[in-house]
Amino acid sequence: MSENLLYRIRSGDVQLLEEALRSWTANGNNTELVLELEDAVNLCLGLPDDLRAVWDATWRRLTAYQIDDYQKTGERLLSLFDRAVNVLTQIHQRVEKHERQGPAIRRSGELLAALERLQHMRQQFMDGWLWITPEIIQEAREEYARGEYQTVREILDELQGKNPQLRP
Amino acid sequence: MSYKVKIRSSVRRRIVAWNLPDTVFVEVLIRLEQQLGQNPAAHLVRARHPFEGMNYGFSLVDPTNRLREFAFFFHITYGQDEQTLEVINCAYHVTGL
Repeated sequence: MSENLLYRIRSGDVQLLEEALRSWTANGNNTELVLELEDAVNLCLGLPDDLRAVWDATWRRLTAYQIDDYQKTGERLLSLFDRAVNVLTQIHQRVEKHERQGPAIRRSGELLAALERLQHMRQQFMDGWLWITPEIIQEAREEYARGEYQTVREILDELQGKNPQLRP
Repeated sequence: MSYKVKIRSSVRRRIVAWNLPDTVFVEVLIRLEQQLGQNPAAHLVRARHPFEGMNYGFSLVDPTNRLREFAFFFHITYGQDEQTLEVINCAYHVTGL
């Protein structure tokens, strides 16, 4: 199962934030809006750790051979990262706009750091995930056919200085 | 029967870009050569969709931080000579950050 429980919970959190953004009126400056923004900020500040937990849970399933479609699973998690980055960006902007006209929102000063951390994690996920598409498989076949490879033994020898000519 | 394990250039570049600690990088290579290469049948798990090949995964505890664990996963195919294993793609993840 690629959509683990944590994924569904955090996807729901992001969806709630997306819906909240749409529900806030442009010039709302009432107490209820301030409280909602504070709740949203709190939820946003937890997103990096929350998505990290989803990522960890997905990897536990990967290494337990419980994921069938690596590409789709990766795309789903990447999409969740993208939605989280997008909603955090918009809430940051919404809070900034609100604070120009009204009272400060608690912990709003931490939003930018959370956004940067989330963007960094998203890139790490992109770089580290097990992507597999027909194009990647074809690229691999062509690369091996062109002789563009090393054996693991050659790389180990290279690291030990036995074949210095192989160093890049 | 032991197999030579081949890593294509772009996969090697990908692994290098992960900036793994030297000891972990070497241990990954040793696992590929000594564990997978020596007895692939015992360590490979068949994959179906979208990749018709084999999977190989393992985890390593960071020797400099016992709370940190590196997990690795590889897509593998048998070479046409049936004496080699070819790494198609690979992935890694660090837990305990």
